[in-house]
Amino acid sequence: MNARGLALTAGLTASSCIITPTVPHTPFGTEHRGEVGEGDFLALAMGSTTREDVLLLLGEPDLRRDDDRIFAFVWDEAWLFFAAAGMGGGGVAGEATRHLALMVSFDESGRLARKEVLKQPQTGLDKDWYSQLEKWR
Amino acid sequence: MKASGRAAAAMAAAAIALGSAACSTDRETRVPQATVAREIPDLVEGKTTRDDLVLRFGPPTAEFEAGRIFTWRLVAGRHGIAPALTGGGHDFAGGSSWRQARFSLVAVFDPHAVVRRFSLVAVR
Repeated sequence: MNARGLALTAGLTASSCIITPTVPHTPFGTEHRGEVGEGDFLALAMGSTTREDVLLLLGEPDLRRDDDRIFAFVWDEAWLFFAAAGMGGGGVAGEATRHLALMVSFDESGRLARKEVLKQPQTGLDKDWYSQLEKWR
Repeated sequence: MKASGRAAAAMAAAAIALGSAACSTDRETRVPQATVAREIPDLVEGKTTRDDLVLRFGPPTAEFEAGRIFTWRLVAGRHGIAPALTGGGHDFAGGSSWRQARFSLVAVFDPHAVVRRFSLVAVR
Protein backbone atom coordinates (compact mmCIF):
# COMPACT_ATOMS: atom_id res chain seq x y z
CA MET A 1 0.00 0.00 0.00
CA ASN A 2 1.40 3.39 -0.86
CA ALA A 3 1.65 6.40 1.44
CA ARG A 4 -1.44 8.03 -0.04
CA GLY A 5 -3.45 4.92 0.60
CA LEU A 6 -2.26 4.69 4.18
CA ALA A 7 -3.01 8.34 4.82
CA LEU A 8 -6.50 8.09 3.40
CA THR A 9 -7.17 4.88 5.27
CA ALA A 10 -6.10 6.59 8.47
CA GLY A 11 -8.47 9.41 7.64
CA LEU A 12 -11.51 7.18 7.48
CA THR A 13 -12.94 8.21 10.78
CA ALA A 14 -16.30 9.53 9.61
CA SER A 15 -19.42 7.57 10.44
CA SER A 16 -20.47 7.09 6.78
CA CYS A 17 -17.87 5.14 4.88
CA ILE A 18 -17.36 2.35 2.35
CA ILE A 19 -14.39 0.01 2.38
CA THR A 20 -14.59 -2.76 -0.16
CA PRO A 21 -12.19 -5.05 -2.01
CA THR A 22 -12.34 -4.67 -5.78
CA VAL A 23 -11.39 -6.79 -8.72
CA PRO A 24 -7.69 -5.93 -9.18
CA HIS A 25 -7.29 -3.20 -11.79
CA THR A 26 -4.90 -0.46 -12.87
CA PRO A 27 -5.36 2.41 -10.42
CA PHE A 28 -6.39 5.83 -11.59
CA GLY A 29 -3.50 8.22 -11.99
CA THR A 30 -0.70 5.65 -11.82
CA GLU A 31 2.66 6.77 -13.17
CA HIS A 32 3.70 3.26 -14.05
CA ARG A 33 3.03 1.19 -17.12
CA GLY A 34 -0.15 -0.77 -17.61
CA GLU A 35 -0.41 -4.36 -16.50
CA VAL A 36 1.66 -6.98 -18.29
CA GLY A 37 -1.11 -9.35 -19.28
CA GLU A 38 -1.19 -13.10 -18.97
CA GLY A 39 -1.02 -13.46 -22.74
CA ASP A 40 2.29 -11.63 -22.88
CA PHE A 41 3.60 -13.62 -19.91
CA LEU A 42 2.72 -16.90 -21.61
CA ALA A 43 4.34 -15.73 -24.85
CA LEU A 44 7.72 -15.66 -23.13
CA ALA A 45 9.23 -19.10 -23.79
CA MET A 46 12.09 -20.35 -21.68
CA GLY A 47 15.22 -21.12 -23.65
CA SER A 48 14.00 -19.64 -26.91
CA THR A 49 12.68 -16.10 -26.35
CA THR A 50 15.57 -13.66 -26.67
CA ARG A 51 16.26 -10.33 -25.04
CA GLU A 52 15.36 -8.73 -28.36
CA ASP A 53 12.02 -10.57 -28.41
CA VAL A 54 11.20 -9.41 -24.88
CA LEU A 55 11.92 -5.79 -25.76
CA LEU A 56 9.85 -5.98 -28.94
CA LEU A 57 6.95 -7.48 -26.97
CA LEU A 58 6.98 -5.34 -23.84
CA GLY A 59 8.96 -2.22 -24.71
CA GLU A 60 11.58 -0.53 -22.60
CA PRO A 61 11.96 -2.16 -19.16
CA ASP A 62 11.61 -0.16 -15.97
CA LEU A 63 14.63 -1.63 -14.29
CA ARG A 64 17.85 -3.08 -15.78
CA ARG A 65 20.28 -5.06 -13.67
CA ASP A 66 23.47 -7.08 -13.92
CA ASP A 67 24.47 -5.82 -17.37
CA ASP A 68 20.98 -6.43 -18.76
CA ARG A 69 20.90 -10.02 -17.56
CA ILE A 70 17.77 -9.02 -15.62
CA PHE A 71 14.86 -6.78 -16.60
CA ALA A 72 11.89 -5.68 -14.49
CA PHE A 73 8.59 -4.38 -15.85
CA VAL A 74 6.72 -2.69 -13.01
CA TRP A 75 3.06 -1.78 -12.70
CA ASP A 76 0.50 -0.98 -10.01
CA GLU A 77 -2.72 -2.67 -9.03
CA ALA A 78 -5.61 -1.31 -6.99
CA TRP A 79 -7.21 -3.89 -4.71
CA LEU A 80 -9.35 -1.92 -2.27
CA PHE A 81 -11.75 0.98 -2.69
CA PHE A 82 -12.67 3.27 0.16
CA ALA A 83 -14.76 6.38 0.55
CA ALA A 84 -16.00 8.38 3.50
CA ALA A 85 -18.50 11.18 3.86
CA GLY A 86 -17.62 14.06 6.11
CA MET A 87 -19.95 15.82 8.47
CA GLY A 88 -20.27 18.87 6.18
CA GLY A 89 -21.22 16.93 3.07
CA GLY A 90 -17.71 16.60 1.69
CA GLY A 91 -15.72 13.42 1.67
CA VAL A 92 -12.70 11.48 0.56
CA ALA A 93 -12.35 8.50 -1.74
CA GLY A 94 -9.40 6.52 -2.95
CA GLU A 95 -7.86 3.19 -3.72
CA ALA A 96 -5.30 1.09 -1.91
CA THR A 97 -2.65 -0.04 -4.34
CA ARG A 98 0.30 -2.37 -4.52
CA HIS A 99 3.18 -2.91 -6.93
CA LEU A 100 3.76 -5.85 -9.22
CA ALA A 101 6.69 -6.66 -11.48
CA LEU A 102 7.42 -9.09 -14.25
CA MET A 103 11.00 -10.19 -13.67
CA VAL A 104 12.91 -11.86 -16.48
CA SER A 105 16.48 -13.11 -16.61
CA PHE A 106 18.59 -14.18 -19.55
CA ASP A 107 21.36 -16.73 -19.93
CA GLU A 108 24.78 -16.09 -21.44
CA SER A 109 23.37 -16.35 -24.96
CA GLY A 110 20.65 -13.79 -24.23
CA ARG A 111 17.81 -16.32 -24.08
CA LEU A 112 15.13 -16.34 -21.43
CA ALA A 113 16.25 -18.33 -18.41
CA ARG A 114 13.59 -17.39 -15.84
CA LYS A 115 10.40 -15.40 -15.54
CA GLU A 116 8.30 -14.59 -12.51
CA VAL A 117 5.66 -12.07 -11.48
CA LEU A 118 6.50 -10.56 -8.10
CA LYS A 119 3.62 -9.16 -6.06
CA GLN A 120 4.00 -6.75 -3.22
CA PRO A 121 1.99 -7.87 -0.19
CA GLN A 122 -1.13 -5.77 0.08
CA THR A 123 0.11 -4.20 3.29
CA GLY A 124 3.80 -4.29 2.33
CA LEU A 125 6.20 -1.38 2.52
CA ASP A 126 7.79 0.15 -0.57
CA LYS A 127 11.34 -0.18 0.76
CA ASP A 128 10.85 -3.94 1.26
CA TRP A 129 9.42 -4.21 -2.22
CA TYR A 130 12.37 -2.41 -3.78
CA SER A 131 14.73 -4.66 -1.85
CA GLN A 132 12.89 -7.67 -3.27
CA LEU A 133 13.44 -6.37 -6.81
CA GLU A 134 17.11 -5.83 -6.12
CA LYS A 135 17.64 -9.31 -4.70
CA TRP A 136 15.74 -11.26 -7.34
CA ARG A 137 17.87 -13.76 -9.23
CA MET B 1 -31.42 15.71 -0.50
CA LYS B 2 -29.37 16.15 2.63
CA ALA B 3 -25.64 16.67 2.41
CA SER B 4 -24.95 13.22 3.83
CA GLY B 5 -27.36 11.74 1.27
CA ARG B 6 -25.54 13.43 -1.60
CA ALA B 7 -22.24 12.12 -0.31
CA ALA B 8 -23.63 8.60 -0.06
CA ALA B 9 -24.96 8.85 -3.62
CA ALA B 10 -21.58 10.04 -4.82
CA MET B 11 -19.91 7.13 -3.10
CA ALA B 12 -22.34 4.68 -4.68
CA ALA B 13 -21.68 6.18 -8.12
CA ALA B 14 -17.94 5.94 -7.56
CA ALA B 15 -18.27 2.31 -6.53
CA ILE B 16 -20.26 1.51 -9.68
CA ALA B 17 -17.73 3.32 -11.87
CA LEU B 18 -14.91 1.48 -10.17
CA GLY B 19 -16.64 -1.82 -10.71
CA SER B 20 -16.92 -1.08 -14.41
CA ALA B 21 -13.27 -0.13 -14.64
CA ALA B 22 -12.34 -3.37 -12.97
CA CYS B 23 -13.93 -5.42 -15.73
CA SER B 24 -11.05 -4.88 -18.13
CA THR B 25 -9.61 -7.75 -20.13
CA ASP B 26 -6.08 -8.58 -21.22
CA ARG B 27 -5.18 -5.48 -23.19
CA GLU B 28 -3.49 -5.49 -26.57
CA THR B 29 -0.08 -3.90 -26.16
CA ARG B 30 1.49 -4.10 -29.60
CA VAL B 31 0.21 -1.43 -31.94
CA PRO B 32 -0.81 -3.04 -35.27
CA GLN B 33 1.73 -2.59 -38.04
CA ALA B 34 -0.86 -0.90 -40.24
CA THR B 35 -1.38 1.77 -37.57
CA VAL B 36 2.36 2.25 -37.19
CA ALA B 37 2.73 2.58 -40.94
CA ARG B 38 0.10 5.31 -40.91
CA GLU B 39 1.48 7.17 -37.89
CA ILE B 40 5.21 6.76 -38.65
CA PRO B 41 5.33 6.26 -42.43
CA ASP B 42 9.08 6.85 -42.59
CA LEU B 43 9.80 3.80 -40.41
CA VAL B 44 10.41 0.89 -42.78
CA GLU B 45 12.23 -2.38 -42.10
CA GLY B 46 15.31 -2.79 -44.30
CA LYS B 47 15.35 0.89 -45.22
CA THR B 48 15.19 3.28 -42.26
CA THR B 49 18.54 3.83 -40.55
CA ARG B 50 19.53 4.49 -36.96
CA ASP B 51 20.45 8.05 -37.92
CA ASP B 52 17.03 8.57 -39.49
CA LEU B 53 15.35 7.63 -36.22
CA VAL B 54 17.65 9.77 -34.10
CA LEU B 55 16.92 12.72 -36.38
CA ARG B 56 13.20 12.05 -36.07
CA PHE B 57 12.90 11.24 -32.37
CA GLY B 58 16.13 12.49 -30.81
CA PRO B 59 18.51 10.41 -28.69
CA PRO B 60 17.00 7.11 -27.55
CA THR B 61 15.82 6.80 -23.98
CA ALA B 62 17.64 3.48 -23.72
CA GLU B 63 20.18 1.41 -25.64
CA PHE B 64 20.73 -2.35 -25.46
CA GLU B 65 23.34 -4.82 -26.69
CA ALA B 66 25.95 -2.21 -27.61
CA GLY B 67 23.56 -0.05 -29.59
CA ARG B 68 22.00 -2.89 -31.58
CA ILE B 69 18.62 -2.06 -30.02
CA PHE B 70 17.29 1.43 -29.31
CA THR B 71 14.10 2.42 -27.50
CA TRP B 72 12.24 5.72 -27.38
CA ARG B 73 9.37 6.85 -25.13
CA LEU B 74 6.72 8.49 -27.26
CA VAL B 75 3.38 10.23 -27.03
CA ALA B 76 0.53 10.58 -29.49
CA GLY B 77 0.13 14.33 -29.76
CA ARG B 78 -1.79 16.73 -31.92
CA HIS B 79 0.85 16.40 -34.63
CA GLY B 80 1.20 12.63 -34.46
CA ILE B 81 3.71 10.42 -32.68
CA ALA B 82 6.39 12.48 -30.95
CA PRO B 83 9.09 12.06 -28.29
CA ALA B 84 7.86 12.22 -24.71
CA LEU B 85 9.25 14.53 -22.09
CA THR B 86 10.77 11.99 -19.74
CA GLY B 87 11.86 12.68 -16.23
CA GLY B 88 14.24 9.76 -16.07
CA GLY B 89 15.29 7.80 -13.04
CA HIS B 90 13.33 5.31 -11.00
CA ASP B 91 10.92 5.80 -8.18
CA PHE B 92 10.97 3.93 -4.92
CA ALA B 93 8.86 1.14 -6.36
CA GLY B 94 11.54 0.36 -8.95
CA GLY B 95 9.36 1.57 -11.77
CA SER B 96 10.23 4.44 -14.04
CA SER B 97 7.62 7.10 -14.60
CA TRP B 98 5.55 6.73 -17.75
CA ARG B 99 3.43 9.74 -16.85
CA GLN B 100 4.65 11.64 -19.91
CA ALA B 101 4.68 8.68 -22.32
CA ARG B 102 2.19 6.32 -23.88
CA PHE B 103 4.32 4.24 -26.23
CA SER B 104 7.67 2.54 -26.32
CA LEU B 105 9.22 2.32 -29.76
CA VAL B 106 11.73 -0.52 -30.04
CA ALA B 107 14.03 -0.68 -33.07
CA VAL B 108 16.50 -3.48 -33.77
CA PHE B 109 19.30 -2.65 -36.22
CA ASP B 110 21.38 -4.84 -38.51
CA PRO B 111 25.19 -4.51 -38.67
CA HIS B 112 24.77 -1.67 -41.16
CA ALA B 113 22.58 0.31 -38.72
CA VAL B 114 19.45 -0.29 -40.79
CA VAL B 115 16.20 -1.21 -39.02
CA ARG B 116 15.77 -4.99 -39.12
CA ARG B 117 12.75 -5.29 -36.79
CA PHE B 118 10.68 -2.82 -34.81
CA SER B 119 7.56 -2.60 -32.67
CA LEU B 120 5.48 0.12 -31.12
CA VAL B 121 4.25 -1.00 -27.71
CA ALA B 122 1.30 0.71 -26.02
CA VAL B 123 2.74 0.81 -22.52
CA ARG B 124 -0.25 2.59 -20.94
